[in-house]
Amino acid sequence: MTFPTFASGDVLTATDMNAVGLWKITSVSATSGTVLNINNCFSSTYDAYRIILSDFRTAAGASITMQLMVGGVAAATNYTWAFMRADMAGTYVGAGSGTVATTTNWATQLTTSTAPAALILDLVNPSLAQQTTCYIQSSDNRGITGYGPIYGTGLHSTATAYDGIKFTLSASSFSNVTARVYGYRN
Amino acid sequence: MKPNITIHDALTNETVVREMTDEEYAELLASGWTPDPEADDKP
Repeated sequence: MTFPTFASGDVLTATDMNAVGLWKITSVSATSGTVLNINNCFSSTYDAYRIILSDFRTAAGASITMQLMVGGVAAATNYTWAFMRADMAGTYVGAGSGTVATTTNWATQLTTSTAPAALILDLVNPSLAQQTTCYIQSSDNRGITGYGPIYGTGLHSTATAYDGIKFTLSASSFSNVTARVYGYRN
Repeated sequence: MKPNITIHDALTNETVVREMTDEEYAELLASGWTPDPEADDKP
């Protein structure tokens, strides 16, 4: 259905509200440390999620890894992933991957420092007892010397329902990051 | 001094920032984490 246009004072009906396709579940900011855990953000309400990390700054260049969590404990096996990247001049730079079945996380490049970077994740089925697929987009925001399109895909093959996600820097520490988790309505 | 960890609960909307435990720090070091990376760090 076409989403209605509301006027001031209109009643928000269940039909209209249940048609909202993307719902913000939670948000959190971190200004220090190397790990950010978000617990209880995945549930049976949604099958697919978008997570946006914005204003991402680190004390020095770093990549970031991601792990699914349940009950506050990170799953540390059965991840596979790959990404491709180009520099801001449009030159293909290369790919990275973690293709061993026992790879302990998903990863992407997010080299940054004082200039804010961003990371967008789409997760499909983390809250279902089946494998989870992850689609990654990031940019390091160093301008002409940086990497622009960084596109990756990850798979977690353990058929478990997860309720959270863990972000870990490969190096350095957060100066700032804001994480927002949204659910796509089923 | 060990790095901090930020733990957020989406149900309660509570956020805790604390220093890593010895076990958590050992796990971080085992992942290859370094405090001073190369300028073009990549996974």
